[in-house]
Amino acid sequence: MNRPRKPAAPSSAPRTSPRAGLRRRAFLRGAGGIVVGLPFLELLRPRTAVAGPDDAPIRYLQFIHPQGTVWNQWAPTGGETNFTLTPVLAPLQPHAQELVFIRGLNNESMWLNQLSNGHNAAGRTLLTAMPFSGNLDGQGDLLPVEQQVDNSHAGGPSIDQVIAQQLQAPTPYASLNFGVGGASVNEYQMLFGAADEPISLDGSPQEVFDKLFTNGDPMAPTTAELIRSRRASVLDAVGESFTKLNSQVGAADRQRLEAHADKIRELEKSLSNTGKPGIGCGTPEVALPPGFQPETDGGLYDADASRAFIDLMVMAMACDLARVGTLQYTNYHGPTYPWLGHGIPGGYDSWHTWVHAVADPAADPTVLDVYRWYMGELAYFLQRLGETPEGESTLLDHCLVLATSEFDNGSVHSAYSLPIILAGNLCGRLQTGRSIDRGGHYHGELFAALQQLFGVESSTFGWGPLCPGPISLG
Amino acid sequence: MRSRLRTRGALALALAQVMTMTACGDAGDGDETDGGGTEGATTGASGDGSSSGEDTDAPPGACEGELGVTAPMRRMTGAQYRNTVVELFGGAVAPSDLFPAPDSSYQYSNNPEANVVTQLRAENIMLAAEEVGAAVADGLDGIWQCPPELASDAACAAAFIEEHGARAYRRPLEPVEADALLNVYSDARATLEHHVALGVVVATILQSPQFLYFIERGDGPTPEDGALLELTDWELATRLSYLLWDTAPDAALRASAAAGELQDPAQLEAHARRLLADPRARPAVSRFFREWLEVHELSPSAKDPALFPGFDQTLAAAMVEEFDRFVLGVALAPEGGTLAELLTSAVTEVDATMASFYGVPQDMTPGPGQWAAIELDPARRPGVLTRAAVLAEHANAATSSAIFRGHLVREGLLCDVIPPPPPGAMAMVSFPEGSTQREQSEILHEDPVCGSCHVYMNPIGLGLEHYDAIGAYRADENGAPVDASGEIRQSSSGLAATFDGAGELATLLAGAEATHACFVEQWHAHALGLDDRRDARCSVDGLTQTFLDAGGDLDAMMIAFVTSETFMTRRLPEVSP
Repeated sequence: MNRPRKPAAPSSAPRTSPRAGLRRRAFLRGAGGIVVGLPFLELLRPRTAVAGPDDAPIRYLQFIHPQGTVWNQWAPTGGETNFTLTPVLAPLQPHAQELVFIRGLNNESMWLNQLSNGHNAAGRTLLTAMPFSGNLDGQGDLLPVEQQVDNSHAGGPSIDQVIAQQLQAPTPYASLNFGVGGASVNEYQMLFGAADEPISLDGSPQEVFDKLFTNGDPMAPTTAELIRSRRASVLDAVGESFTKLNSQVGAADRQRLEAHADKIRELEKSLSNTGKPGIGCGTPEVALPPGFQPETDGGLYDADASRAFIDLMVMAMACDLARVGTLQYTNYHGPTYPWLGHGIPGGYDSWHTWVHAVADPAADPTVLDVYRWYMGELAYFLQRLGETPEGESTLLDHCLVLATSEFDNGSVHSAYSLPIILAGNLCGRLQTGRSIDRGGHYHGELFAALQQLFGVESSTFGWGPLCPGPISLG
Repeated sequence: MRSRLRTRGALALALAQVMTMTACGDAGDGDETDGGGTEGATTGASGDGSSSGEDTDAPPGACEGELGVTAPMRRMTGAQYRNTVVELFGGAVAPSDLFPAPDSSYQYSNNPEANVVTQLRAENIMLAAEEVGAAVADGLDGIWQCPPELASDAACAAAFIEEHGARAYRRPLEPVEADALLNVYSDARATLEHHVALGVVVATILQSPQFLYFIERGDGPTPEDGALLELTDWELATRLSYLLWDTAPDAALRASAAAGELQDPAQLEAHARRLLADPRARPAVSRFFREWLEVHELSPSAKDPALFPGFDQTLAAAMVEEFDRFVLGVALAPEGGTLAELLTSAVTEVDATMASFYGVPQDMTPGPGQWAAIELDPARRPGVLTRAAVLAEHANAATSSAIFRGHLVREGLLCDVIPPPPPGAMAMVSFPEGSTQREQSEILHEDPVCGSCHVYMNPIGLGLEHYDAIGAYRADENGAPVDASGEIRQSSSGLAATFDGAGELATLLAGAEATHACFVEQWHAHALGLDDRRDARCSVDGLTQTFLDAGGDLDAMMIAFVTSETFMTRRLPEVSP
């Protein structure tokens, strides 16, 4: 990404002065409020009207960590309800009763892409359960290997976008998607709005903060904010240009222009979406260290980005800016995890190489620490959701969080028995505090079940032959 | 490797129907009911493959003399958007990279199907426009000065709109268009400062269809489906500039368009030569070659790190850069390069990374960060097919690929279409562990169903077996000398011969009319964003003759194209049902 830097924090943002012995951090603060449509004062007034779980918005969140896990010692031991967490899952202990651990689900769909390398295939199928669009013929049938491509976009939408489509939430954004470690997904394009419609990630906490939480100082808005404030008028003028041109061009050209004009009209409609901010809505306090860069070769700031993005996501949910969100840890090749204090030992030129070389991750304390770090971040995410009030309960009670990885065993690109954790009870729709085995089922069957929790009536998801029906979550 | 099948769906379907009746090799002369051409319905031929030399008979489904090429309306690509924003504001504004990229699964990035506006893309076009609008507002003083004689902000805004609107829409604004933009300004100005209101105008312009789409409607009344339009001077300037520079017409082209000079092919030629001689032609022209030969950004993770530890980001990037330098060295050579040189020349440019990869002696290796022209061993590195980027792209993670490389030659260089195999084909064969490409190909060839098509691909790709999965030269494989004998079976493109190794393959292709015709066809698809090339048949035939008469000179072909009726007119597509 060489995107030009946006103006730094709003000029009104206070900055802590450097103090001896303290790590200096720049705090991003905004005066609250959102960019689109929501009157500034609206946020300062508690929304006491949003009370019972019945009218609480339901939400779907994803936490995607790369390169698998300690696959040979991941699943909790013991029974369905009286289970014991393994070392890699230990950070989740405080939330154990809010979780469902699922083992045994296989991502067989990655193998539909026979010419793909393991990463592209696993990444693009993880949340879509669909082969590459380039591996489908005009009728939607799978092409044989000789006609397959080594890579293309997924042939269908990812589960998060299916749910977003179902919810049709009156929020400013249909989904918010953050790349911890930067926006570059490399081989891991996981989110798709539809076949061939990849969804990009926001990789900079600063930019996300600016986008979501700075009306800035209403007394001193930035140029960009002022220009955005004219969106309705601009889209209106653009729409009129389409209308005028339509009468001047041939029928085939008109068809293309009209399809585009439809999208402009949908954008205009979404401008009036303000969401229903709950009582927990405010302005996140996001701390980034000096010198912070969203994307570095060694992933030097990934731990900072992780906390920043988690805080941003939680507050975005509390303020009802979207009801679907994804945190994708994008740095899967060369992170060095400096905050863990291990370093990548000699002999491995990257974390990626190391993962490939480790046959028994449970026996390697450094590898265990890395994988456990992701679970610690998940725990922090759940903690923040659980302590943010909404109505008479918390955000977590109104959420379903899916945490998983594209592999169980990254060393051999295996996507069997994916490490899947569900969190939150979605207003009582999911019974938590359990550890279950769904061995022999495909992961698309899980998504078929999840989408039903959100009201999608279909009992299939992704590639039909690999989804006989929803698995039981009971 | 990416499939082009989806971009030519209708054609692939027609072929698939043929396939259900007759396999590739048994297609015989076939029925030519669709008036197809080089991509016509017969992929196979009745020949036994033992003949060599070219079939000089006119291919079936010949041109029937219809003028003009049916061209879809194209939308600006991401690369074109970035260049255009730079051009519009004199380089003072960084182009937003929020503008959506084309769908990479289509061969040519300007294919309209790769640039369909989805909801997300509409939003990203809006966000990009707002970002640029803000940058223009903040940097207005360095971009544009209001003429001092204009007394009011409103007069200033009108002047800004007239100048920048015209450059963005690539023609003078119609009065109603200027009024509409001025209204956007006035509404914004009611609450915002002058420069910010102009930023709002810029955000409007950059989302307008007149800017985003290459609208070609001639200057007559609303045209009918299928009509043949003569393009206006402004439309010609736009076609030329985006073809050769991937950006908006510059001042000289605008002046010629305003003066009505571009209906004169001599003027078009003069501008084309000027554009081609400018460094701005380099990225646009190399993009054609990359997309034609399906060379993408190479990623180290695409190869097995255990087998190819040296294939790192530096090497991967250097391979692609070397490819660009090689093709441009031929295509934009001041003295004029030919297609034959492209296919056979061993003269390229290398940096230290590529010098080491190609085994260039130390004393001829350029210093750090330097690139220098050099002639590689012509026996090992003849022509574009032996560029490392081409070979690495068309290979598997751990092994070379006779299928991918044969497919590249068959579809990319000969414009034959290989139809999809029948359902269940994957289950028909299995390969022994560790088998070579030649062994695997033999298994495919012996299978009656697989073999009927694979004999048209694998035997060509096997001629490139001296190059491994990352394009490195190898004399031996598994301890045995590499057998690089290959064969081009006769098919609808007419070429048929046996050969040994990359050098003979390159020479064969360089001397074939079929390769020249296919190159011209690829150029048409690229230049006009064609999804279906069948309608370009007459134009391809005519330009191929010119191309051959000019000894395969690439410059001559490009110049002939931009001065042709095909370039100067547009036949409107019919509405798809």
